[in-house]
Amino acid sequence: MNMSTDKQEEKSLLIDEFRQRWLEVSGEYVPVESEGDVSRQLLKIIKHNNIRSVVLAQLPLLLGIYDLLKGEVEVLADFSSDKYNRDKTIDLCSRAEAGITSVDALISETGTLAMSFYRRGDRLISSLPPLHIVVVFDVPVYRNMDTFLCAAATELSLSFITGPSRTADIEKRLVLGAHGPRRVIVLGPES
Amino acid sequence: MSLIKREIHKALNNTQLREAVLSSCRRSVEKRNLTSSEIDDYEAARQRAKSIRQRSIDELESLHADFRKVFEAAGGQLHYALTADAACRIVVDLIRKAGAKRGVKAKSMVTEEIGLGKALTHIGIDAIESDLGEFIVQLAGEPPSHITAPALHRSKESIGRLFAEKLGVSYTDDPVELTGIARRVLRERFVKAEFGISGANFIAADTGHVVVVENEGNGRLGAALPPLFIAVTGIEKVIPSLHDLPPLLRLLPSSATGQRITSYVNLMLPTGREDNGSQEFHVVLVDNGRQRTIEDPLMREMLLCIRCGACLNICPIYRSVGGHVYRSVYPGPMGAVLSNLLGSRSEMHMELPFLSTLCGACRDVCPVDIDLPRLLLELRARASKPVAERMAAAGWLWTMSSPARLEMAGRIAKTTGRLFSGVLPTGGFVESGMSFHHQAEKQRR
Amino acid sequence: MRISLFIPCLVDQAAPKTAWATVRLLERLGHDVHYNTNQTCCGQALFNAGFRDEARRLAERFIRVFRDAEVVVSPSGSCVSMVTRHYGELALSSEYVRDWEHLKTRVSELCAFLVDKLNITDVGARFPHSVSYHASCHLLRDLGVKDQPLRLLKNVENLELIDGDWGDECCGFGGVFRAKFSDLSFSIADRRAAELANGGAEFITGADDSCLINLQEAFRRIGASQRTVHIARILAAENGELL
Repeated sequence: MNMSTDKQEEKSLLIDEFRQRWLEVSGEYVPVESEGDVSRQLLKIIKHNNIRSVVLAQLPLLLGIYDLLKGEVEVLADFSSDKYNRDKTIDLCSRAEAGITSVDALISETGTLAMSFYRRGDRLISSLPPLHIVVVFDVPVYRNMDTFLCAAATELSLSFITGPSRTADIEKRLVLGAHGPRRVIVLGPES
Repeated sequence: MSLIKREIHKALNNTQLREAVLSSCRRSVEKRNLTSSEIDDYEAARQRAKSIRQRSIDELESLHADFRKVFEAAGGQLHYALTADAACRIVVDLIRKAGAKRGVKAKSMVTEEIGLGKALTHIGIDAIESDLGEFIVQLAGEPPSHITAPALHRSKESIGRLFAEKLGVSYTDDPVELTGIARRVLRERFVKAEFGISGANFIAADTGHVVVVENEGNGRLGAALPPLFIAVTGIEKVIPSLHDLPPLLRLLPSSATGQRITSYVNLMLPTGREDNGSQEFHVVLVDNGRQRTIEDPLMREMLLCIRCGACLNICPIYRSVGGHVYRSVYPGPMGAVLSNLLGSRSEMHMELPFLSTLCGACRDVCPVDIDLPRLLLELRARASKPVAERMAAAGWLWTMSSPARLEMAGRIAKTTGRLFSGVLPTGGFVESGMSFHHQAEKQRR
Repeated sequence: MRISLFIPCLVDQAAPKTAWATVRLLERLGHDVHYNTNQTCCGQALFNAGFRDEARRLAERFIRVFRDAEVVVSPSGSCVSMVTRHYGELALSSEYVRDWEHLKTRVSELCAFLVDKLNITDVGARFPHSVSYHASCHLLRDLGVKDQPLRLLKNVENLELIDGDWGDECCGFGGVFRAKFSDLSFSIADRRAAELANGGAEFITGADDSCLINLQEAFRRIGASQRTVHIARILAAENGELL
């Protein structure tokens, strides 16, 4: 970490803003103290919520988590083959009680996760299971979508995710978990 | 009595509908006011959004060419349909060629506009609506009554009864349970879907992204799960750059639902289709009267519309009777204009521009500053008028061409009971006695 | 100041007291008030009904009547917005375009005239009653006149201004709209009237008699006791009584 103090301070302010906005849209936030703390908090969430099966995005950061989780829950991700199998991914994601991914960036102004899709099945992992756990330790934070898009690789499909899936189609009553996850938990830096 | 007048009469007598519509509209406007007040310099944001949309319309042809280049290079296929029928044929052919039978649809007003649902049902293709509101109205066999909240006219009790009857579940009127039921039914359909159809809020000419703004997550599922994905949208939805998206998104969700941003904003490209699940990614651009509108200098402003529905929520007429009375896919002030511009315009739709008090609330609330009252007035001028009205207008002009005639007409009207061709009541509501003009003249003498 | 009155045909025939109140108020403020008896209708009714050509002929007539006036004041937001905003959409004959461009800057609605042009917010009126204000749509949204009427009312002696969270929804009048869709128009008016009646004021005021007549009828329909009265009549009241 060779950020200047000013930059660090700015980032920490942006993270605080993100967190506040994220909570306002019914997102959940679990602060982690260090990278090492991520796995501990993750296990805590899984145990606390009686999660029996997870599907895991194929990420370098998450590979350590894969080894960690293997003994605790049924890990449905398939890292054994290079060949992507659509039907199998759908099946795994449909059975999993939680999906674990990271994201590319946080956008503070609206409490938004920016997630691009060059990794296999990420869109399904973040869509199908009722719980989406997002590990965001050490990802960039942008003030708004404009600044994010200036820095982002725009040759990819992207999703901006702001809280859990929701609907208000019945008498304007807000209901979470319409088609996507009912809960989205971000594991992120303290600030 | 015209069909629209009969519909209005029916709606006015439907207390349940009126309560549901009014309270939904009020809540939407309150939330809209709250989030739009958070935007720094709202007027500047609005003019910026407007100028982006203006550029889209002004440079439509070259933006389409740009979009085609990047979108096709990324592996997508672009189609262009001049008419509603042509658009339906393209979609039907794509589904047939893929040998697909069952699919899922996300919300899209353009597919309503072109009558895609009917075209698919007609040839035995099953496309289930996955947006909760659209799912409800599809089950009920009704058209949507609002462009962003299709089932706004229904109470939770009526939705409960509908689900019990059509889905064989036990009755509940709890929105949480009802949403859960829809989720279970539709999840099964998503997983087995052979095609997905959706609208698009924007398409970006510089990057080729198809932008779908949504809350439920059905938009991304419908694009990610099935092997064939088709986005159907209007030709005017192209924006010059992906960097134009944030200024538009600052206003669209805020105006539509009072959210700072929706739960999902999906920017979809055909690249990495394997990763995204879809094998084929198509965009169908529908003209259906839009090009003709662009060439009409007095009406082209309507194509700036980003379909937020704010003008419906604030309209004193829409909130009194809901969307079905308009007998048009697009209701409310924007619908009264659009239905006279798109597709095959019917005699019936010519009545719609008169279904407005011209109060101007729609113009004030429009995130791209469309002067809807001006457009409504322009369409009123263009509408063919019944003989009786033409005679009344000629009579008015004759009367008002001389103060003496006005004075005479006023006196006669006060004795017969209706002033100004029946526009004003008399019977104690207007002052009896001499007009100001008469008194003033008398005083002068 | 020499002021030419523009009395809309509706005020002339259906609410002459509003016109007299306007005269009295402006004279009390020391102005020289003139009324050109050749005036009739500004053409708004025809314009809103979609009869552009007929409306244009009345617009040109209006311009002929008022073209030499230095200052034109009218107790109607709606008709002023017709003249200042919509005449431009009427394809006026070229000989009238320049006159209109010149005229439109000199035509004002009464409240806006008092507050913005004369810088007066206290007109020396007394009206010992409770009053709520209904913003007429064309005054509010076409002309952008929002606070001026309220500022004038606040300075009326003994007047209790009752403000509520009833917003600024339309009364449902709409001229030709009311004629074509009367059931719906009444229903909107009833809703608006009920909101205003809930505030409990004795009088409901505004700057357009069309809306006020429409609302008066609605108050009667819903069984509310409120009376509507044009703001000019309140501002003209000197000894606490309406003209």
